[in-house]
Amino acid sequence: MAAGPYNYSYIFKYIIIGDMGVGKSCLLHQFTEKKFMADCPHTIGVEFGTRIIEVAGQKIKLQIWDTAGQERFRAVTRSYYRGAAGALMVYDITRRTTYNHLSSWLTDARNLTNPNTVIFLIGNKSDLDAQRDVTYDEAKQFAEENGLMFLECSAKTGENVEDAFLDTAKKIYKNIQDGSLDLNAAESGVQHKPSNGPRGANLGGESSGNKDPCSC
Amino acid sequence: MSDSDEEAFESADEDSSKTSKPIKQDIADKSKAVEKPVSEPEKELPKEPNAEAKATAEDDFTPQPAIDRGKDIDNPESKENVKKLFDKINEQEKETGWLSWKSKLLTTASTTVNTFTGAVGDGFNTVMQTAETALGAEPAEELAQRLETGDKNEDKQEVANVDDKEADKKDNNAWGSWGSWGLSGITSAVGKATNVLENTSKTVVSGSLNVLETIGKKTYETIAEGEHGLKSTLQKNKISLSQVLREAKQTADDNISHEEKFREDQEMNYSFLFDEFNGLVNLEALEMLSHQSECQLEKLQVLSNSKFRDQFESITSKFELSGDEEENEEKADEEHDFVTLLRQNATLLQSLNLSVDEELSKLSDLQVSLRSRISQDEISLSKGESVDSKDMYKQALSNLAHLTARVIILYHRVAQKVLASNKVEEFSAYNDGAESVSLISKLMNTEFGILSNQYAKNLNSCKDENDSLNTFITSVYFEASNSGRYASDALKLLVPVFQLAIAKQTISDD
Repeated sequence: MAAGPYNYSYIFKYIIIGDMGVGKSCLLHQFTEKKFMADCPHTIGVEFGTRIIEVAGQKIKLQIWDTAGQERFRAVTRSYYRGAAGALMVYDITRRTTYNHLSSWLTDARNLTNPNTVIFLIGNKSDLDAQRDVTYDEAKQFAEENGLMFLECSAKTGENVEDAFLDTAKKIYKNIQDGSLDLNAAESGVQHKPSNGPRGANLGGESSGNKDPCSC
Repeated sequence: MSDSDEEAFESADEDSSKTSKPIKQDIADKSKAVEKPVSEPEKELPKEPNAEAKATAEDDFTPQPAIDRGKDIDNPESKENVKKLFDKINEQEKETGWLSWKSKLLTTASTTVNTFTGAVGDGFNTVMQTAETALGAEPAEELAQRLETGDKNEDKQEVANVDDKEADKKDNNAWGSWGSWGLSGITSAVGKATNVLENTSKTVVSGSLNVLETIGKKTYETIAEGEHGLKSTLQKNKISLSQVLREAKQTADDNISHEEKFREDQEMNYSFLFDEFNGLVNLEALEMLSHQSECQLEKLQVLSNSKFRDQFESITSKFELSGDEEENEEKADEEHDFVTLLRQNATLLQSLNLSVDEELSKLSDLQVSLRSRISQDEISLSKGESVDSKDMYKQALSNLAHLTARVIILYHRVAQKVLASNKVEEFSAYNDGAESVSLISKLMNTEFGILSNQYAKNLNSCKDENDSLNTFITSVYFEASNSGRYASDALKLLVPVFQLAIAKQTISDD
């Protein structure tokens, strides 16, 4: 197959995780379409979104895996963490239970991704401040204790949504620049493709390192 | 112009700038020279392409997502480039007067180009007026009038010029930021201009070149009129605004054709298209599920368990397609009722209580729309209407990639649902499910065969005598057979998924 034409230099894989109904799909939709999706159906397994952004003059394609929050898909979605360069961990500031479950999500994120995966904590629905059930400060403290980046966002108004996705990318890019993220390592979650350069299409059944040890 | 003349101007100019003393004789000499260099740059334009300026313009050109467009100017890297460029010019040219003039010139030029960008279609007059306002220049009529009234005011003017120079020297401190703003302004403006130009016809491009040229000339005239030091400097360095702008235009043209080529490449690249339709990412996700299932099967240590052997073999054999090429080729000659067959084949899936209706209907809707488009083309061709073979080829590739992606998405969905299902099913249900998916895969292979035949037939009927026609047809057959292969390979990824589900079901029974 011929070399592919690509107008971006990197692909970063993101994964969005968190309890059911915290607004993961809406965040993705807001980021890719700049619109709020009022009636968002439950995600089945995983849905995908992409957007090309620019960091430090480099075009980066974000390949975003929006996972199902339903418990019955947990086994399925756990399979998708591998090779994520960024993980957006979302809770709902109006529902304390979704915040309480963060440690479980964080455990999954830590165990199933690589040590350099940038984990970004998002407190969604910041527009519903009147119904707030989790304070900014306690979430901020949780984020600091666990070395996570943190922002409160609103998928409805779009507040901070852009920043959360872009800051994650900047951090990943920084990790590449200072060498702490090795692009050649398996599972880095980053593909580098020099613009217009040849790129071996990887379509067969053997892509993405099937020979890796089991991580289940 | 002879060499000795040129030297004379230079030395005269140096004199005036060094001593800051107006010398009447000089003024007379220079005013004679004013007319000459105006036409000069046109002849000498292509001689000294400014490679760095080009590079910078190219860097800045590639279209960006809307959000980040504005940030470009703040981008440290492009600033760096621009700085480098100017440092280099600085080295070549030590005359402070020229430097500040140049920065003014570039600033003005970028403003002009910006304004111009918005005015491509608005007619030359508007642009000229804008240019004049932006340059702070007198309207052409007034200029002409003044030239006619002679040099009465020359003395005063020269004094004003000297004052300007002194003021400019002070400004030199701010040169770095000012200058870089000026050029990145130009390049981003050129980027914008290019975007506009992309969508307009070649006529507008060449028309706008004329406008650019005229603005360049006008700017040059205006500056040369007031600043005598500039013209000799320009002669010495062979750089002029019109040259800069012409180069920028050339770069933009190159970029446009590069962009067109680029888009063309994308449109004719199967793997790119397959990725665009989310085929690649779904395939990757399906592989992950398959791999994870394999791992769990190993952990459960069921693969060597005789209890499962028969069931596993049965499932495996379901997913191994006969791979009988000849059979597929034969089938490709016969039309089939895809939508009905798809529905029939999918009924067995219902025994697994999996709802993949959405994916199935998207798949059949797509097939219907592809086929109706093919029929339309066939009718057009039979009526003798001309159809562009390249367009048809692009369409064929895109449709094959799209259909393949849809099949992969269906398989991925089946895998997700099988693994996420809480219901405990009988083995026969899994067996039926496997049978069902396998039948769908066979149906798809036949469909790919029929599609490639029909596309080839239509391509053959195209009478535009494209040299690449044979390549197109070969490529369509090739990618259609690839499509079938990807679908079959993806199907095999379901084996461990079904096996795991069966193993879990049996274990939970125990």
